[in-house]
Amino acid sequence: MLPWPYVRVFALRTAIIWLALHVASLLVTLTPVYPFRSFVFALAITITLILLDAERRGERRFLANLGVSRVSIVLVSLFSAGGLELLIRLTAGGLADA
Amino acid sequence: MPEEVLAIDSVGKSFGGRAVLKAASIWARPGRITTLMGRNGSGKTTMLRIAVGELRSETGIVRFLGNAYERPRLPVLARRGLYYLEERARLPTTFPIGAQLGCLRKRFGAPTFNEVIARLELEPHLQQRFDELSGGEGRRAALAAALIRRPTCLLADEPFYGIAPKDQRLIGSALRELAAAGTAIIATGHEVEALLSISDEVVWCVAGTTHSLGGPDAARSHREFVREYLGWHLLSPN
Repeated sequence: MLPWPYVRVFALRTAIIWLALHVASLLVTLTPVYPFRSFVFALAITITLILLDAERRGERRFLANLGVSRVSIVLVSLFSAGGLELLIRLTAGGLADA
Repeated sequence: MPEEVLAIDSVGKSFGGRAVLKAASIWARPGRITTLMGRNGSGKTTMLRIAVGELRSETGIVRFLGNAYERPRLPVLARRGLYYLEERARLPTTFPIGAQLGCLRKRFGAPTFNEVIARLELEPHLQQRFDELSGGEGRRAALAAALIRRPTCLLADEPFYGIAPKDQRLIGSALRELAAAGTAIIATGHEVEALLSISDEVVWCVAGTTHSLGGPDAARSHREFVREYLGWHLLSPN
């Protein structure tokens, strides 16, 4: 399990990327080639960026020494993006090109 | 001799067709510091990275606490008590040092937290982030994380690299103390005197394989090791 401070950090980063993708979806189409939907594509982009950033900052190895695997980081990102997306859909609709 | 905690057994690894390791082995035993020495590119770091799963070996196996791993993974081994202090060890800059070490304290209890901080002279730096520290301070902070963890086995890649003699002594005595508490330690590096002063056993990594040389005194008097690695004969005109 991720230490709580890191849960907050990864959730915040996910939210920033997710909102940026929403803004981007107003300007360009995010729908990639079949069979992916824009939501899944945006999720893949978000998780990739979160993992690359964690690697760059040395967080991945620090957390590995605590027994925390990448899967935990991915799960925090998934839940954060999912929660935020739910909130956005309830208030303003989904990705512009979904 | 106590039974090994970690065994990196007969591992082989090639990079771009060049075999860096052919059949290299090293064992970490409780309460002992084993020093892995060898020239640049001899495969010391590669062996440690294979042990924690950052590189995949082509041959051989890693055993930790009785379990054999063809493809080890650091988070899995860390849960069982391994700690990997990588080359030029660093901590993330996400939080101040005190908060980073606090994560380990919360996770592992760490009754010796305050002692570790005092011993490594880190009190003035707890509110600083890792990138605000000097090389020696940063290395001490990274080692503090390992000491707070109190691992069963510590892999320390070049713990003395590029730091002042006083920092080397602080780190050396902290490693010795950790070994005295029962931790099995493998350390690498080229800081010969600093490493030999804390070693129980020296392993020489050369030509893709490893040779156990015995204790530091035996290593100092090993002719091939002195000639091929230490190069002390180059200092003398004869």
